[in-house]
Amino acid sequence: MSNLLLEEYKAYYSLRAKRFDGNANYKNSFEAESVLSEAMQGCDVLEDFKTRLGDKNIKCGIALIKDKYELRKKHYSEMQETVRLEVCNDVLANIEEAKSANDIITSVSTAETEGLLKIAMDEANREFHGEWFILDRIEVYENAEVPSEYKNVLLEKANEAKKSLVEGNSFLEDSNNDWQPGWRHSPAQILEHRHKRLSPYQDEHIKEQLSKYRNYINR
Amino acid sequence: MALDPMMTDALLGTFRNMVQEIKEKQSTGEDVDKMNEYFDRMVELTQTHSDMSAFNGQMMQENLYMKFSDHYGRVLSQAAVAEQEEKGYDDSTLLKQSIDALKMAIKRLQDGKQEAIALAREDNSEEIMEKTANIASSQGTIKMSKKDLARLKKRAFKESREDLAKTPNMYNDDVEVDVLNNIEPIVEAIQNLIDLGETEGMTLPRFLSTQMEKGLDKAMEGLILVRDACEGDVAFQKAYALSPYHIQKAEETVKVYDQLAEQSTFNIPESDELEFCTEKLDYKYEKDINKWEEIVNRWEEILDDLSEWSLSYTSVAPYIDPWKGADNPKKATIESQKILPGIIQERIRLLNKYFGVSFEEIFAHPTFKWKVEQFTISNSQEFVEFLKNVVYVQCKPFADLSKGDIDERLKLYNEKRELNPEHLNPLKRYISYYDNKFGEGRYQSKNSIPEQGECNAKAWVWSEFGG
Repeated sequence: MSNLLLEEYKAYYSLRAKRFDGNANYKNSFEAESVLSEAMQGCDVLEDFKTRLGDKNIKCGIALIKDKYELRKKHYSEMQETVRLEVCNDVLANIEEAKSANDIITSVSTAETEGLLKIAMDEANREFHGEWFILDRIEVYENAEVPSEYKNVLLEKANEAKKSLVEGNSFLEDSNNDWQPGWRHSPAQILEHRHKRLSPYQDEHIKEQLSKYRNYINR
Repeated sequence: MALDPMMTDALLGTFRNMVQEIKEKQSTGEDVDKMNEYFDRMVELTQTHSDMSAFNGQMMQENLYMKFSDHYGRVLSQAAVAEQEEKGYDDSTLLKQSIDALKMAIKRLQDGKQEAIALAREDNSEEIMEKTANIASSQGTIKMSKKDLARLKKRAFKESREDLAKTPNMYNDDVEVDVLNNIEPIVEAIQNLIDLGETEGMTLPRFLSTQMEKGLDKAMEGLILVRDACEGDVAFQKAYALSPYHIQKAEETVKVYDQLAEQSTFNIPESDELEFCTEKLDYKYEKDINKWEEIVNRWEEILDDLSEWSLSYTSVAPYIDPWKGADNPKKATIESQKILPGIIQERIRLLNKYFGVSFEEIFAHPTFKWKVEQFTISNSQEFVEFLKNVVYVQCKPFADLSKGDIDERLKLYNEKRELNPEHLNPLKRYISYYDNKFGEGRYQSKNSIPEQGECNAKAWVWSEFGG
């Protein structure tokens, strides 16, 4: 039974490595799993594995994380998602230091949790997209041809719209300061591809409206 | 003021249970101390914060959920290692532990679903109403005596119960939760693993090898459910019909799933690959969808303004919305007459500037045709033709609508010919989708259906529309 069990373990570890053989995306995993499998293949009795194992299992976990986050990096790099790319780099920067399975989980989760905050704070700069209709409203009220006695009515509406932009910005900054003290709205970020890609408008129009928006909210 | 325990209990309940579990196991050590320390800090924050957002923000900044879970995990794994070392290596025990863990996973899935269904059945609408009224009263949002407040609550409860008599499942989402949480394929996949593990003479390494060889471990990931969800989204998007892009995106997602599944060994896509591909589809369509919505919103606003401008001249205007609530309704109608042409002109200019669509081109635009074909345009054909061919040509700054056309506008209003007679078709389509998914009559048991109303216009005939 003991010999049979040993042979079955050898087959199992060999299969684990074989899963990644020839898959360029899982190069690290293949190497780490091969090292682990070799340790098993060299055992004469199952008990030997305990001493031969060392941290090879942990190295397999680390290798898998490295492969998966390298894949993510490639994906986010193609998508020009620089903040998400940064999160991948954060995971990869610390993962080698893990000494146990718990360390691996904690290391990845910590970087991912901090990453979620980074992403949320970055995407809060998309406020401009949602305020475009107010900018249009201001333009409409300021340019509409109306009898002179109604000019002030429209100017008042335009001023109310400008005030709502300022209030919206204050609310945004106050709320985000709960999550990241000192956070300040940076509307110019909207010109970065990851934000601009959502806008249905042409670059020249985005720049024109952005300049007005920044002026109104003083950011 | 501390946070409402109703909210924080639900939030901290899981962590409280974990603390209790470790206490009952009589585990000790640095990780237990740390775990308790972080839990105490969470409780402390519920007492020092009165704003939920600020509380969540602080929890995030201190990374408390993560730190707690880390130490909890370490306590559990240390206990497991100690137990194994004490017993020494025993293949059958390890195999049994693996199978027990799988059985526990099924139980958790089933219990979780039952709990979610029970929660979905709970109707605490009266409790919420009571709380809202009390808070509004104590904060001065509504100013009234205790007696009046009691009367208000009584009336609100009565109306709520009357609504409930008509739509008994108004607050009950049990069927929806049941259908949307289809755990059966995952339970089946896990059961297959359990059956394999319980095969006579099975060993742990053979068990682990076989699941890899047959892809049983992949089936357990539950990705098969993603395909169901993707197909469900196609049906939803067709029922909702917001734009052709929404439907195309949903259909392409199903295609991508199938392609990836076909390329894989066990007919189940790699989860990372699937995530990347669906994200790429989001990116592909987001801009088009936003553009579509922007164009629709803009021309709808222009048509609404033309409708309002022409109606403001009629004799009924001071007695209807949006003018009747003004301090001086008559004066308000005149303001609309004088201001709206300039505003409409500007709105048309912006539509043209941003999207190259002139006023005339609105009616030949794909967004317009789509809205007509999907019955989501709220105006009737004859009313749109009137706005386009009669009202718009006169709607210029400093100009007024002619007397004859004011009479015609009043007739359209009085004879109820403004509204698209098929305006309820999208709702009917959605009800059909909903009932198909959740059971015949389910939608109506939850929602009251709006009346068709008197609607004397003819149905849209696109081929006869002079777009």
